[in-house]
Amino acid sequence: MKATRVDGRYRLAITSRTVAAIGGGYALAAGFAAALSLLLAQCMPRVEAVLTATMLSWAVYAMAAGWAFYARTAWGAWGGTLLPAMVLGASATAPQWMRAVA
Amino acid sequence: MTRITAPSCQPVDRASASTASEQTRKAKPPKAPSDREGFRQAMSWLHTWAGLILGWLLFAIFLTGTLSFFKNEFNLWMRPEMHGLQPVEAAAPQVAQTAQRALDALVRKVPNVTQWIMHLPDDRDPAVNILWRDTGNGRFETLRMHPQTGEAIDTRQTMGGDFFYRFHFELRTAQKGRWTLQGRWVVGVATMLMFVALISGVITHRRIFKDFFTFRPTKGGQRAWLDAHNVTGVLVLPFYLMITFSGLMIFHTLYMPAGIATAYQGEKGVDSNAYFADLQGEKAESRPRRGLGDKVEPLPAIALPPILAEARTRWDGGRIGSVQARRDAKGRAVVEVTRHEGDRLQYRPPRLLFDATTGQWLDQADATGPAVKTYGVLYGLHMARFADVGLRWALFGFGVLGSLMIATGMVLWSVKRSATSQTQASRKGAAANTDAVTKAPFGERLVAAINIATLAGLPLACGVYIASNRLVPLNVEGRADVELAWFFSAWGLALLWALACAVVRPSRMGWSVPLGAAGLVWALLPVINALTTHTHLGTTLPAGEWVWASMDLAFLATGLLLGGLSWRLRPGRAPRGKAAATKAQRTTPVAALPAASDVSASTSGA
Repeated sequence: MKATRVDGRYRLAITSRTVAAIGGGYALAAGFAAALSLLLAQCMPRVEAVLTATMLSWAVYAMAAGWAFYARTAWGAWGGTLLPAMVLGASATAPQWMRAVA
Repeated sequence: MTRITAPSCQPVDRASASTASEQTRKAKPPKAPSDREGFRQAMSWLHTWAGLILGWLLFAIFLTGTLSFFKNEFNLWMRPEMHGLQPVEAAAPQVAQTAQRALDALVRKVPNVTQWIMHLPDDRDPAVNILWRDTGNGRFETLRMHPQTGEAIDTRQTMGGDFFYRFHFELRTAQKGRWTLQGRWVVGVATMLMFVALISGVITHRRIFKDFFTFRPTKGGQRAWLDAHNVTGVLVLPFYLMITFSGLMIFHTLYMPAGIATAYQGEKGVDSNAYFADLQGEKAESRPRRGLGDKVEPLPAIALPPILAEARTRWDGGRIGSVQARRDAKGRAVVEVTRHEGDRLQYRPPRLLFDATTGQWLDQADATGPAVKTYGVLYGLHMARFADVGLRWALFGFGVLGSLMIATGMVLWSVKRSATSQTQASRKGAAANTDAVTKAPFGERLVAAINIATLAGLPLACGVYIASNRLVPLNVEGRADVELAWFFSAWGLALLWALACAVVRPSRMGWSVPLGAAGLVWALLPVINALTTHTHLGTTLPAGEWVWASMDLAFLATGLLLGGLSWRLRPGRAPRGKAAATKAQRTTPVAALPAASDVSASTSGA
């Protein structure tokens, strides 16, 4: 069975997915927590917003880790975690940039 | 040599090796190539590997955490000098006199104390425990006092149950903390992997309800281990999810501070002090932040009885857990009364603030928002300070089951792996070559060795640690750390033994010897206790001192269980019946375990 052969390429792909799951997944969860905290803080006390977002972020992390090993390619694992992480991170830091510019 | 089994690598290789997966499908009974199936297989793969990588660490975290449910009882048992203290009912009015007496004694000893925290005696801890300091922000010193006389109790130097507790969440290796932050991060990563393994494990089990009732120990080998893993995993799944998730949330300010960083962003950077104050339901200005060398005025004379009386009225006669005095950010001396942790599920308990000089009530500090309360309940469930004896034992049982779930999972990995490599070896026609059959690949032997070192070595090390508490002479320099040295030496010896038995020269002695040694140590603990102290079963049983006696009895029971386990795994014993024996010989080489009938037995202590 060809699929069971372990070559360097396969190991590289697994390593890449593992890093994507841990690092990319954390980035996504942190971006999620940051953006949702900021959003929820508009309509509830800050501490409530932070805790709600942080509790949910662990589920996001777990799902991201699952995705990293389910994606069709290792690139997909990275794209699926880092792209939304960047979008969320940017929207969470945007208010600060605006303040700095203004 | 094949390293990854066919179904495992399928999800990962789907794109790059489509021809191969077609071949796999031909070789296997045809399955609908639905996306659901691919997802399940990916999660199965993830469960296997996430579980393996930190499984050993998780076992250690789980087992020491389970023992920590009885932290106070260990603390007591490991300080036999505390025996004979009369219990003080926490709700009774004499608590105020006890507190005042202890405070007077403290002030006589340390006239210019700047801050103290006094834990009042309760049904689990009969002494008054005081943490105090006479600096602005230095290290706290500990003082234990007799509740009736206010005299200091001179106890032996030991970490007691606090070692299990500290190891559980920061892998503490010495009495004075070192690498605690790094330890907390390692534990955090392991906890996250456990969380992932739990969720992927649930997804992998399509028959989760059926698994609840399925245990076939007589089938032997891999099937029995899988059943045992499923039963222990499914049985108390809500507990595992709660304990892992709350574990992540307890340290969320360390592990996931991103939300705080945005929502508490101010003009001068992130105001984490405001966050902590909100989290505890306090006012930010009542949380003084000082440098290590800052000078702080000593506290004035404080009259505790009127303050404690008012606190009890405000709480409708609720129990008082601890009292502390400090100077707030403005330099005003305040007394903070904390309700007993056993009075409600949510952690932390509510606190009342009083002016130290006038005794006037100032404020109540408590977390009240829905999310903060949820967090507090999660925290409280994890710490289990609310639990009475019965519930505490139930939680302890869940912890033991969790340790067993991890242990059976680790053994299952080993058994399954060697079965696969055996089958593949025989397919290649290497079955005739006995060397290939008995000697598993290095990686598998290493996993088997670390399995032995962790699953059998840790119970041994815990037993040796408790024994060292009685055997190390009382006047040894740095005695608390000597006890820890016993713990880590025993664990290290178990590792050396396991490496010798599973990696260097495969032998069936690997499991039975460390388990037997652990059983011997645990079973001998009551004897060692009787020879070295007066708090042994001969005095505690007739006096009906159940906290002391049940420790000895639990040690004995643990020793018998471990001994029984070792006896069943002894070399030369046919696993179970002839059919199972041949099957086990075929599927499990020397490194893996023989029979699975013992998984219901405890691998943990007290």
